[in-house]
Amino acid sequence: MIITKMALPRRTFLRGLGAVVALPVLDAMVPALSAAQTAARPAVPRLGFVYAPNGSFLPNFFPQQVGRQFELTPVLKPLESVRDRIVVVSGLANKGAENLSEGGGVHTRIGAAWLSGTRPKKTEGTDIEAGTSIDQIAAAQIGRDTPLQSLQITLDHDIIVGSCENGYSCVYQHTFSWKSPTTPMPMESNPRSVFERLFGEGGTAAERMARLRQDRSVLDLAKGDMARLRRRLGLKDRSTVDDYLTAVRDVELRIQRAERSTDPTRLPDMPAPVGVPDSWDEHAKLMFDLTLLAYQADITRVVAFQISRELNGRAYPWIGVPDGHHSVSHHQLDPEKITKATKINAYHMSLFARLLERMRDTPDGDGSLLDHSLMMYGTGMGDSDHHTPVNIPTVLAGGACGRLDAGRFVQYPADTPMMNLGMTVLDKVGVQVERVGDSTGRLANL
Amino acid sequence: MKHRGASVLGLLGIGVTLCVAATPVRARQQPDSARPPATVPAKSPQQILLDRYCVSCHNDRLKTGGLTLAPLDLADVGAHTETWEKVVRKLRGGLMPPAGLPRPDETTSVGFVTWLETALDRAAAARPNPGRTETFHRLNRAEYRNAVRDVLALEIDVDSLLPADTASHGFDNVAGGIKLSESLMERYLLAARQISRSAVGSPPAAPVAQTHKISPAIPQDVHIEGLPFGTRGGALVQHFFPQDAEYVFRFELANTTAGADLEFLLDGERLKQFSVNRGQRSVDADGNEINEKLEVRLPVKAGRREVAAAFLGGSPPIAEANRRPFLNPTVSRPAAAALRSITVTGPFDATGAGDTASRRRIFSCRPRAMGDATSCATTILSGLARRAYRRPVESADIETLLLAYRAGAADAGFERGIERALQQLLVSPEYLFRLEVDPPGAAVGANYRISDLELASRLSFFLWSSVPDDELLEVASRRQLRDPAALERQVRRMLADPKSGALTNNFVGQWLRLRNLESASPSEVLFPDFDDGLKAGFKRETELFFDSILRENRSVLDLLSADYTFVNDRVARHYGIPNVNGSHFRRVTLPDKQRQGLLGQGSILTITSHPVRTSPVFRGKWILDNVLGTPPPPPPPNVPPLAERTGVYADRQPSMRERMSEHRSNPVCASCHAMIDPLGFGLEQFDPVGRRREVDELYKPIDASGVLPDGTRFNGAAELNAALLRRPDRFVTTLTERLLTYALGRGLEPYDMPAVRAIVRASADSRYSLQSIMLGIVNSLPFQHRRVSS
Repeated sequence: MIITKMALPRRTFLRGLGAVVALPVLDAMVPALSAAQTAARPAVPRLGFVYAPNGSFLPNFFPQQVGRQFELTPVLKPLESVRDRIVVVSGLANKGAENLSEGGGVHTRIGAAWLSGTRPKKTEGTDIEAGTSIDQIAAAQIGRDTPLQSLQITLDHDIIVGSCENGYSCVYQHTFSWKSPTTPMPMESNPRSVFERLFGEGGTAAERMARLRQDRSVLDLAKGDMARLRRRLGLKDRSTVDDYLTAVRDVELRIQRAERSTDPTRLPDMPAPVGVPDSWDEHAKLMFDLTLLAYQADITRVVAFQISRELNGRAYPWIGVPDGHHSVSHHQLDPEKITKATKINAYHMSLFARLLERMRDTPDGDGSLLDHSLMMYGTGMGDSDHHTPVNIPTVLAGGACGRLDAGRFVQYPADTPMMNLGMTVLDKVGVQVERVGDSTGRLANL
Repeated sequence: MKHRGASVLGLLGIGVTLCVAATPVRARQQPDSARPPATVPAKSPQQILLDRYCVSCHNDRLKTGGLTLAPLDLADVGAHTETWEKVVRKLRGGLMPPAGLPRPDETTSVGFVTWLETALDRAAAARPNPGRTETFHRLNRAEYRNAVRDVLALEIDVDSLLPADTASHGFDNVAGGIKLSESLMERYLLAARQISRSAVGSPPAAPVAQTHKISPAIPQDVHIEGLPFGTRGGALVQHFFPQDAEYVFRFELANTTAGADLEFLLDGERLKQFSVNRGQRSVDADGNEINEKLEVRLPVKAGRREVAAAFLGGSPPIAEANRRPFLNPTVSRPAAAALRSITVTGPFDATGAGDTASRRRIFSCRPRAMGDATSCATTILSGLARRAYRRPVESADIETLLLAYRAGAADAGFERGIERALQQLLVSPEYLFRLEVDPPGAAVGANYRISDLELASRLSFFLWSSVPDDELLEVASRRQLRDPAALERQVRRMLADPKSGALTNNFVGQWLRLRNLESASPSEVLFPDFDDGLKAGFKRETELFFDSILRENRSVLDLLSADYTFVNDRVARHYGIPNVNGSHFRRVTLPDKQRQGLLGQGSILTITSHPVRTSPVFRGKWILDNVLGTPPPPPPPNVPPLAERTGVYADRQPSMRERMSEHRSNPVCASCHAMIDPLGFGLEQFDPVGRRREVDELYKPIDASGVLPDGTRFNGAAELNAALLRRPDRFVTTLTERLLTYALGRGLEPYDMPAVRAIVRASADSRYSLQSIMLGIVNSLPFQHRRVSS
């Protein structure tokens, strides 16, 4: 809504009277950015994190052969066309996520710890606490110059009610992106809302400028209201006031960034999606397409994408798995369950592969979008039957502006902290930090 | 033993005058004839009982379950309320001592727990603690929608405007569950702009196309409630038309090979009939049907209207679902034409803002002369802000809104000014947050009674999930709401108002986890006739059922045992109830005792099942959580998988019971599953989608016998219900705890339990009628008081 100087054509909303047609609609729209428009821009790194729940049957994930000659296992098979652009990583663990004294709640812990290496605090109340995740550490730096610092997407449209998992707040399952240990970044499931965050409501440039000015003055006056309120409160209650003011300031900053941006031709020619598609498959593809557009138009450089939350029991009848994902993930070495769980894992991977292919085919500066991106695909747990955060299946993809030597399967010693990879990922996009979660260093040979 | 227990009470050293008000009725009914003995016994009978049955495990050395009772002083339970409340819960639920270990007889056990509760209640009465609700209580999504409806007379599609709220303590109205973030603030800004625009009736930035999709899983071969008789399928949607203007209506069909006649209605009036002829079907590259011709452009007056379309001609002689029961419509489309979406695009050639309910509500005056505009704007904004901020407005409130008004008015006149001021109002912290502020000068840690206006807000958000109306605000402004009679009048009035349906949506939807029905996905292979129509029917059944308990002020025990429910033809067919025709829901008496009450409803039975089989574990846990109020502890870490296919089952599939028995043969699992599984067995007569069954997946006769944690045996759902209700206070306490959590918007603490018990006891006189429980909550200490932060 806040993007200025981006010519979202009026006909976007008018074309064909009822242009908001059935989905998916984006396929035809993606090449809309010509190379000429983007060539002038120096390459900037993009970063993405894609999460798939409930672990894997590891022999169907990790190749036997280490190095460049690695074979494509059933789960990796969908990545065939981008085989030379990926690095499969084994040996990583998030040991810090486990705590034997806290009992059940493994899904919550390993999901919330995926990008922070930090065990979430066990509470169902409002005193939630986890670790700042690496996507947000990166966003604070490489997201500063884009209209959106980062984007959070989920495909879970239903919100769980009741108890989530054994005394842990549902919020730990609803997002893995944490701006600070106490500030989760909510994930958006409605394509329409994602579209509006990226491209706004439309209208002419003048109209959009007017709306920006208006938003600024609304925020100004709202700050005044809050300041008056603050005087009536005790010290302790002022933290909520500060949260409000921080949120307001963040939006103001975003408006400023939008006003500063000078590139007027970055918008694709696409209609706004109407809502959540009936078909999960369409929903997934549409959300990945929006991710692509966000990178392509340089509206954001950091995306956190949750294919599904931990513990999800969704059935996938359209790929031949009418059983719930979570229950088949506990395969108990039953070949039928392993086959089904693997089908789901491979299906999730195929969605990621589709995104990578499109990024590869999208020109960006002196190369392709994929050349300039670093994408990390993974899950919180290793073997899905044991549900432990050990030997976590991980795939890196993209060129990272020449910093990733791809086309390999790399094995690290067992129980190498996941956040050592986190440090390495941050390195590759030029973000320097001392330590993340339980990290002990950086990964060699990546 | 008991009379000596009473004697110990006399020795606790708590002044009688302090306790009178809080002494529970039941405590007084205890046979406490004996006078205090002259000397203090070395050990009280309670202590003896505790030592004999509890401390043998819960001592300093063993600390079984992380608990030791040895060092605690029974004479001063107030010093360890948290631990003792846990003890009460375990004993009330009949969970301790665990099965297999020696237990006192039930009378003794109940006597002890009653004594303990009485002691806890006395301690609480001496030092009452109302707890502290959060100062800032952000309106959740449902509350935001209802507030806009009640302030601006505007219905909004809030799901497309705001993200969902995260639940804490089981409810998404618990304050502070999720913090205000940049992205949420941004959504609030955008929502405020779109809402103020719609309310005032200004044109949108550009004509907008809005598509109402119809799930392919909703059957299109039967009559749909609300559409004309003699039609089948189609859909009926509410659409908001922002201006008096022309709009384009477009209908997308599927399966038109056989031809179809589609009728288009606006607010019930037939406007157009489309005929799709055989052979004109066109399909695009993806296999989607294209029906370009089903489009019409019409002038429509602004406001909220009902857009409908339906196929002429009744259902086929044999309903598709019956004829081809092996095909789920999501797998294979029905033979008859089906409506997939209705798209409304506009406005075009607008002639004005029109006369909508919102405009009538907002424009209570019109500026007649030039100098008049500001005073009229002040009148308008004062009225709206009073409702939106839920209190009398102050000059500073109006000043902010007038600043916004002037900016808008300078751009584009009076109405634009009001629109800008509305946008401002909708992002004001005074609107977005319910505020409860300590009174000036209140001592740290002191309790105080909240103001009448704060009470009015608590009441309306509890009963309506919305802002107070004029009458409630009026009573509160006159400071009369604290008068118990006036308060009760308001509660009865508000419960009678249709707005109290919010309780069903928001409270019941979350307490019973009905909302999880949305994501239930029974196997299409095993349950081919399970579709969204049935899912929606299940939800409606349970909602209407709860609603009837509330409106008819029935006993909450009826929730488990009522001999009636609500069905339409689809649900009735599923349940095997004959002679129910038509798509509307009606009340029916249930002759099948197994089917009676919530536990016999398809909604609950489906959300507690796996896609392919029932889950006695889920069902048992649901009962422990929501009926008995004793949630089992989480499973221990690193549980080994069930060794399903080893040894004895090598040559055959184990039965459900055999598989579950492995839970109990493993000592790590047994301690909890011995409580959980047998409860779930009682519902084994219902399959994963809530149909009655006589045999299980392996065609073995169902064994529905089980046992409650307290040892009560039962066979089948009817006896299970009776066993659950044998001691009704357990269920009533659970319901009261959940309702109080929802009403306060905070999690309950051990110090809230005396208030819960008082509400339960007081409602016993009316046989636990739902309204008496709600009144008890409204009159309770935590609902009317708050503690200053320390």
